[in-house]
Amino acid sequence: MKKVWYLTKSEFKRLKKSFIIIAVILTIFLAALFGIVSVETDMMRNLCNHLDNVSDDFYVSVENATFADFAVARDSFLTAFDYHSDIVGADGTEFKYKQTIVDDYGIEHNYYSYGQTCYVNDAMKNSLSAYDERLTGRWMENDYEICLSRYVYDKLNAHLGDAVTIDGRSFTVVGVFDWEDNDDLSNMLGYTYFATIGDNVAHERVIVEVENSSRMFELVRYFQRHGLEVFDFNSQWMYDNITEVQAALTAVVAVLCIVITVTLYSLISMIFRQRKTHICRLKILGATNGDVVAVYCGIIVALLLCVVIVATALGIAFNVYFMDLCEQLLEFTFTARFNVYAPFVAFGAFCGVTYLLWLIVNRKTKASLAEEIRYE
Amino acid sequence: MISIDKVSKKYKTGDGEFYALNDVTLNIDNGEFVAIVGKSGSGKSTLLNLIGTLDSVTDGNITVDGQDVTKLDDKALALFRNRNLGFVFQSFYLEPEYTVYENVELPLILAGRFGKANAERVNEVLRLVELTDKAKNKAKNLSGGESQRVAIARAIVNNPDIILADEPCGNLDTANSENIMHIFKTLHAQGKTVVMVTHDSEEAQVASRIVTISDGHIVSDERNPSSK
Repeated sequence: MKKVWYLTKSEFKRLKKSFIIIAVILTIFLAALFGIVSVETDMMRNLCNHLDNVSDDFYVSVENATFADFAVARDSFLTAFDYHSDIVGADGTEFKYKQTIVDDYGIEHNYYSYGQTCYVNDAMKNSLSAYDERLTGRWMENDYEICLSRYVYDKLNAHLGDAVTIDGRSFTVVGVFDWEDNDDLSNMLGYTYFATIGDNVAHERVIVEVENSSRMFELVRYFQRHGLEVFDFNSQWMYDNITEVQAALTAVVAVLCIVITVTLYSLISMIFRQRKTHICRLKILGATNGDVVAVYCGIIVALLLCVVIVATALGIAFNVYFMDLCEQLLEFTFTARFNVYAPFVAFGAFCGVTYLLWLIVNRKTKASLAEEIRYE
Repeated sequence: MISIDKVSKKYKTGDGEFYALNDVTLNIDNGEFVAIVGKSGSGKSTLLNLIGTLDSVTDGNITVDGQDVTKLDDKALALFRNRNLGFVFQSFYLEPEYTVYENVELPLILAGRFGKANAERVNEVLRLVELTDKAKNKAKNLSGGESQRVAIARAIVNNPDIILADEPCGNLDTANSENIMHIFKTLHAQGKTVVMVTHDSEEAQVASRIVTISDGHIVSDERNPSSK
């Protein structure tokens, strides 16, 4: 150990200037990387906090969607829609479907998923009677009864008389409605009912309501990934701004990573090119491979450790700077927690890259000490 | 004693293979001063490198004081070189940025020795080669003769039994060459085994035994009664 320490000390003295230059470059770029990564990962969180504080209306409007388009989403997001359980749909259910249809008069009609939430009155009863022939069972007569569309009914494997909980309310299934494409709804002005989402007709626009902004953004990303046309959602312009800023920061992060890798490669190559002969001398005089590896890997690892520590401190300062910048750009209060995993990941990545580069450069060395001497 | 038993060294080239050494057998007793002479490309440096474990044999064995060095692993070889061998090369092979003291101390550090004892030993060998006043000079600032003397000091600092010198005067003028040869004779007189490779038959006259190599074979092996 003492031997390695002596050799390391001597080597560090020889390479001090080069090491310091490389260490400064690495520290600056790494600090910037830490600062940017911390800010970038917290951007969406900050936006969500801001929106949750200023609004309670979170929705995603999807165009030309059918029930089938939401089928996968239902499996993912609607697990709490447990037909036979008492689990309250609202607590476990992340959103409810609210379908909006604009009739010829430009008036919006909202239709809720799965069932019918409506207020029974005589006028409504008269209107519904026009569809009696499509109904199996009977129409609902109070707020505790529900008619399901055929699609939903079959999907839930429901039976007439079964209990169902939707959006925190309990209903008894009293009827099954067979929807047709050309059903005219214009005379349903002002009433809210229907399980229209429970069929395969494409509707002009479906609005999905959610509890908070993070869920809303998650849905947006989900729908976009699955090719659905997202028409609108709350604070879309802020989301788009954030996304663009994140994309730009990601590009900056990529460039920083490249610069850092190139600098690291320069460090390893420098050590090998400048010290290859010295390493050979050491081996001739009695140093083992283990001694050599311990000296140079020790120097590199110690250097990188110092770089990471200093870069972490600087990164926290960069973090503050970037937070101020983001507040100015995004026009809302921005806090970014320093990513405490970043220094560990960076150090681990450094060690891994160093080892790989060492292997690559080491392969170029001559097979025997005699060849090294001849080469020199 | 160094025992070289039917040693061959084969190299691969673009055209095929060639034998730098072919079935060489040679015994060197303790305390001998042997000069290995031959033209360039005759295989003399190859033989020295094999004795010094700087290269591996293709066939045969090399035994030093009863130990078969051809069968040692890297760690054992490093230890063996550090304790038993001292190297002097034509191009000195010093660390240019280290001082004279640091260059000479290196084998001691690699042997795991540190502290004041090192200072005493380093100064002792520097006195032998008459470079005590240059201890703090960097090696890159030394002349050729001084550099070679530092190399010799480094070679003997661990008190090895065997000194291997590959064309030690190849880069030196006549005066410095005589100086170096004088040092080798002193070391020989102290009981060290010295094996020196040279292409200069004049230089070889300092040795007590001259082995001539040509095309990978030993062509003559004679005592030198007129060694200077």
